[in-house]
Amino acid sequence: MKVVAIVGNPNVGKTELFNRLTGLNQHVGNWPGVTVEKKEGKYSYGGEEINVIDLPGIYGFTTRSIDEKIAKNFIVKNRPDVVVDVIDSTNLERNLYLALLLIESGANVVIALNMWDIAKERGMEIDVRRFEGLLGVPVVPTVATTGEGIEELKKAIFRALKGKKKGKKIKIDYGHEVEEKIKHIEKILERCRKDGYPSPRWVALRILEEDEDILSEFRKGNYWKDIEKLLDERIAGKIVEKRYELCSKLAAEIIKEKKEVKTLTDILDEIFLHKVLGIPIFMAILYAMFQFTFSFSAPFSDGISLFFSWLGNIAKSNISNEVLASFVADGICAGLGSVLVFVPPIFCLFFALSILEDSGYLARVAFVMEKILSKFGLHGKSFIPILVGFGCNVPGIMAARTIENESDRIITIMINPLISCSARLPVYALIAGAVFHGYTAGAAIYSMYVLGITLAVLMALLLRKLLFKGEVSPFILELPRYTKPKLSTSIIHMWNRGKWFLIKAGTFIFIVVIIIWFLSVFPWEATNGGKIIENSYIAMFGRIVEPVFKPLGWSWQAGTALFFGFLAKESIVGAIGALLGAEGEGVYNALANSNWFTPLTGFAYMAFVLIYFPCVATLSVMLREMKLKYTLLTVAYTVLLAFAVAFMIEFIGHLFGLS
Amino acid sequence: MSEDKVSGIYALFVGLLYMVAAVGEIAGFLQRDLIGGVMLMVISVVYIYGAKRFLQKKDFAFIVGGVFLSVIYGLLYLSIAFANYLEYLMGVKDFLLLRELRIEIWLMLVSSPLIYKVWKDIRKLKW
Repeated sequence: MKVVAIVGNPNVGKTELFNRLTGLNQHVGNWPGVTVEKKEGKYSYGGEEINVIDLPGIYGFTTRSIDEKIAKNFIVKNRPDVVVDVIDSTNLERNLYLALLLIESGANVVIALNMWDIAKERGMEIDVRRFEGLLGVPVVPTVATTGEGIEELKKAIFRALKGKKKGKKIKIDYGHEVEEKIKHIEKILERCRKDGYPSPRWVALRILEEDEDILSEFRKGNYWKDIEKLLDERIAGKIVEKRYELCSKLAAEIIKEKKEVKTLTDILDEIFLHKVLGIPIFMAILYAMFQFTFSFSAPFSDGISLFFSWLGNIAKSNISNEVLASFVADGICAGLGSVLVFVPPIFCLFFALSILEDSGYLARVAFVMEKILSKFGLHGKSFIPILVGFGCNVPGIMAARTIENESDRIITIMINPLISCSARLPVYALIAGAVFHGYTAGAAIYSMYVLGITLAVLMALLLRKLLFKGEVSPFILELPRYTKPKLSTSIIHMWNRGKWFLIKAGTFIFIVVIIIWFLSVFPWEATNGGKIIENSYIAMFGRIVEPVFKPLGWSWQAGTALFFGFLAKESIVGAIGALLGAEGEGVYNALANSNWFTPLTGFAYMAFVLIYFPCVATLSVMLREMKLKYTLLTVAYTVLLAFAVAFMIEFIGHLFGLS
Repeated sequence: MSEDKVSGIYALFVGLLYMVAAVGEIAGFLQRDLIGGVMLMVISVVYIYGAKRFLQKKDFAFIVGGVFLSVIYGLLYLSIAFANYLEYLMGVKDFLLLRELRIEIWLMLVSSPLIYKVWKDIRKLKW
C-alpha cells in the first residue's frame, strides 16, 4: 500500500484536508496544535489503495518539541511515497520555508495551496503555474472546508505516486562559504556511511544547522572531531537566512497582486487582542458560557431527573422482592439517574466551547493570556493545554507536547490537573444547585473555573521558583483567521466530546453505583433494607475516613463519595446519589433537603473536588508524559493544596460570618 | 449632526446605561448579582472606550465589541428565561415574567440601533 503523509505549518487545515481525503471525521480545531500524534486513514484512487498519515504541524526540522520530532522522523526515516505539504495561501511566504525543506529532503512533494478562497477574498492573485515551475513540484489550490480542489489533489497525488515529474526541483545555492563546508562534510560522510537518510547533502545541511538528532549519531563515531571543527553558529544562521531570502523572492514572483483589504479578522483582533480590555472581555465571555451551561441545561436535567424518579417509584411499587426493588430503585435509578442528569450541562459546555474554538477565538485567548502567564513562569503555549484541559485533562496533558522547552512542558503538565475538566462539572452543578439559589449557583460554578486557573498559575510560579529555575522560552503563536461557526460542525464536536460521558455513565460509573448501592444496603437486616444507612458496610468505611473530613464540616457520606472520585470525578455524583437514596425526589432536592452541606461547606467541597488527586486516566497519561517523581509530586501537592484551600475558604467564610 | 457622530454619542449613552445597571446589580438596587454586575461593567467600558475611539479616529472596532457582548448577554438571559419557563411548565419552579426579563435583555434592546448599524457595516467585510 502506498503511503501519503500530510504535513504543513500549524493551523493550515491539514486535519480538515485529511478528513476530506479519507472521509474520516477527525477532530478539527481552529487553533494550532490539534494534531499532537500522527493519525491514519485510507482512500482509493485509480485502483490504488492509499494510506494517509496526518502529521502534527511543524515550521521546520529543528526538533525542539515532541510533535516536531514525530513529523520529522516520519518524513525522513519512513520515507512516505508522497508528502503533501499543506500551505496557507494567505501566508504563502512564511509557509514556503517548510516546502523548501521538504524538497531539499528529497521527498516526493505535492503542494496543496489551501485556503485558496480566503486568499482570493483578500485580493491576492497567486500564479499557480509559475509556482510549479519555480519549485518543480505539483501545486494544487484547495479549499479543505468546502472540498474544492480535493479531486485535483487526489489526481496530483496519484500522478506523483506514478513518478510523473513537474520539472526540475529547485536547488538552493547557499553561497560559496556554506557550499564549501557542505562538500567537506559530504566527503567525510563517504567514509562513514549513514544509512536511512535522504542524501549526503541533506545530512551535511542538518549537521551545519546543528540538528541535535543527527549530531548525536556522529558524536560516538570516529569522525566527530572532523565534523565538530566545521560547526559554526554563524554558518547555521546563514543557511536559514538564505532560505528565508529565497522564500521572499519566490513569493514576490508567485503573488501577482495583493490589495490591502481590511477584514473582519482585523477588526475582531483589535478588540479581542487589546492589551487592557482583551482579558476582561474573555472573562465576560467565559462567564456567559458558564451561565448558559448551568441555567439553560436546567430544564433538560429536570426532565431526566423526573424520569428516573418516576422509574424508581414504579420499580418500588411493582417489584415484590424487596432486595430487587431496592436494587432497581435505589441502585440503578437513583445512582444512574443522578449521573445522567448532568448530560445536558456537559453537552451545553461542549457546545459553547466548540463555538468559541471553531470561531478562532480560543487561539486569541492564548495570545492575550501570554503576558500574564509569562509573569508567573508559564509559557504562552501552556494556555492551549489549559483550554483543552477544560474538556478533559488527558488531552490537555497530551497537548503540552507542542511545548519545546522541557521545563515549560513539565510545569504545564503538573498544573493541568488543577484545570477544571468537564467531569468535575456534574459535582459543581449538583452542589451549587442544591445549596445556592438562582444566578449565584452559576456564579459559584464560574468561580471554580477561575479558582482553577488562578491556582494553576500560582503553582506554576512556585514550581518555576523552586524546581525549574530559569527563563520562560520565547512564544510564537499562529493566529488562525476567524470563521463563522457552523451549527452542524459545533453539534458534531459537541457530540464527539460529550459521548464519552454517556459511555462512562453506562459502563464504569454504572458499576461504581452498583457497588455503592450494595455497600449501602447490606447487611440487609441491619440496615432494614437500606433504610438505616448508618449500619451499612459503607458506613463502616465512612467512619474510618470521617476524622479526615470532619474538621471541614463534611459528613462521612460526603467524605466517602470523594474516594470514588479517585477513579473518575463523575463517580462522586453517582456516589452521592446512591448514598442519598434519591430515587423519589431527585438528587438536587435530596441533597438540598439533607444536612450534608451549608453554602460555605458546599463551596469548600466544590473547591476540594476541583483540586484533589488527579483521576486514574490523568495519572496514567502523566506517567507516560513525565518522570515518576513529577507525577508523585503532583499527586502530593494536589491533595495538600485541596485541604489547604478548603480550610481557607471555610476560615475566611467564618470570619465574614457566613455559615 | 452627521450619522457617525450620532452613532458615537449613542454608543456613549449606551455605555453609561450599562454602567448604571452594573452599579445597580452590584449594590443590589436591581437583581443582586455581583459577578453579573462586574460583567455589565466590562460591557460598559468597552462601549465607552469604543465611543471615544469612534468619535476621535472613526474606528468602530470597540463599538463592534460592545454590540457583540450586548447581544451575547441579551440572548443568554433570554435563553435562561426560556429555560426557566420550561421548568415552570414542568412544575419545578415558579415563573414571573418581569423577574425573568433581566436588565441585560432591556439593554440589548436599547443597543438595537447600534446592533443594526454594526450589522450593516460588517456584513460587507470579508472574514
